[in-house]
Amino acid sequence: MYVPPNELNGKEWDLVFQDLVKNNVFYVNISGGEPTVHPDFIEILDSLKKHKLHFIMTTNGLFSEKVLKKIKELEELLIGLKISLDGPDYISNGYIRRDVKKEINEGEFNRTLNNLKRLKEENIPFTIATCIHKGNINRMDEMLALILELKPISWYLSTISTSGRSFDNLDIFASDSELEKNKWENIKKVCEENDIFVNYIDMPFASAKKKKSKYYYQCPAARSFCEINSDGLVSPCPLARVNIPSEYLKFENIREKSIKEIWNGDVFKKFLSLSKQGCDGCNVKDKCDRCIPQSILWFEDHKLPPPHCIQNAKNLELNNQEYLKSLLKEKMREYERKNYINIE
Amino acid sequence: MKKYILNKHIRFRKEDGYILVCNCKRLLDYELPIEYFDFLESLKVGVNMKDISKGNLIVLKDFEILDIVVKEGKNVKKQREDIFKKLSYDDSEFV
Repeated sequence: MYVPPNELNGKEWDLVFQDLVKNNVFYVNISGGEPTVHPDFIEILDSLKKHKLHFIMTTNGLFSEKVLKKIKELEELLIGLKISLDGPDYISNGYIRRDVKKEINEGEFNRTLNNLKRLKEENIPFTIATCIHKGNINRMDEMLALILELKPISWYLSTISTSGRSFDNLDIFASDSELEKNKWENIKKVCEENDIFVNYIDMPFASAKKKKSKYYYQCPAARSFCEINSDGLVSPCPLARVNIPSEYLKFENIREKSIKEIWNGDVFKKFLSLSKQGCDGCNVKDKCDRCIPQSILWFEDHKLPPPHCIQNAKNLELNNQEYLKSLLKEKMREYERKNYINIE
Repeated sequence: MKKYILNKHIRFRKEDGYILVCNCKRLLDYELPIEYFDFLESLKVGVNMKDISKGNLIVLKDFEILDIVVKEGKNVKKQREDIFKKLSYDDSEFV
């Protein structure tokens, strides 16, 4: 298996966890990529145990029996386990979750499903995360039946985010009209009757309540949360690491500085200061923690409002509303995301 | 003699003017006045009822209700709850 040479190894993660505990970090969220493929993954879990560090884990559920046993062993420290499952069968599940040969793999789907069943048998609580796309949007009824059988604590549904690799695979997005067709409220109702909590993430069409709400950002990045990437880079959040070029902010590495130095350092201070600079005219600029990565992603300019704020420009009383809307329309055309949001 | 000890899932730290207490298993946060810091520190190893000052006895009952402390030897009750909804960064970034 290929492991990038600059990734933190098990011993380095042990030092990171030691540093986090020393600086009173309460818990960590282990995610990826896929964390369980790290060659030192068992050592990393042992290190969490050694430092008594609580953890959340997000995984594709393809882990081995050895990892499953280790998770069971660490159940006291396990806060939550989120497992990705996109569809009720291997084709809809594998639509965007290909194997290393970039093929849809029936064996991998079965392995994930077996692990989910084992977790249920072992009474280890888990959450299922489903990413909605063209390959599973019409299989939601069967997916609901599988969810009821697996009985997770909760089921999280989201659409593909407009960043990173998804920009190169625009045909995988379910269109707005396809998303609207499904009976999201019914899914929620049925699950809640079965003691399964459902959450729609950034799917305003699925929740009447959010549609009416006044949008502004309340972001924990660099305030109560940060990301330590597998190569040791510490950034306020994954979007910031991926979208903010180094000429804006050059993020520091945990190999060179402690978490305390980085957290209190100039880079995080500058991020917070940029985030606090509200958009021109906005009537909630004092409350808003503006999403700098999204402004840069869409407009290559941290001073412009992110798309959802432009959509809500009238309520927010933004300056230059017509200009912002036409600029966003142009970008949506350029990125072939004509239906990303409705700005009429 | 009853001995009280910090719930094994509790972590705490000093913030600007207060103590931030976290139940890491259930992702519940509490803010406490800074004067209780030494009391919380002492609870890490366990404290006998008779050794607890009058002022601290008042808050001990609240600590017990909130599962911040438990009677020594007593297990913390498991809850079936969705912790991910408590993680604001995992939900929509809008409010």
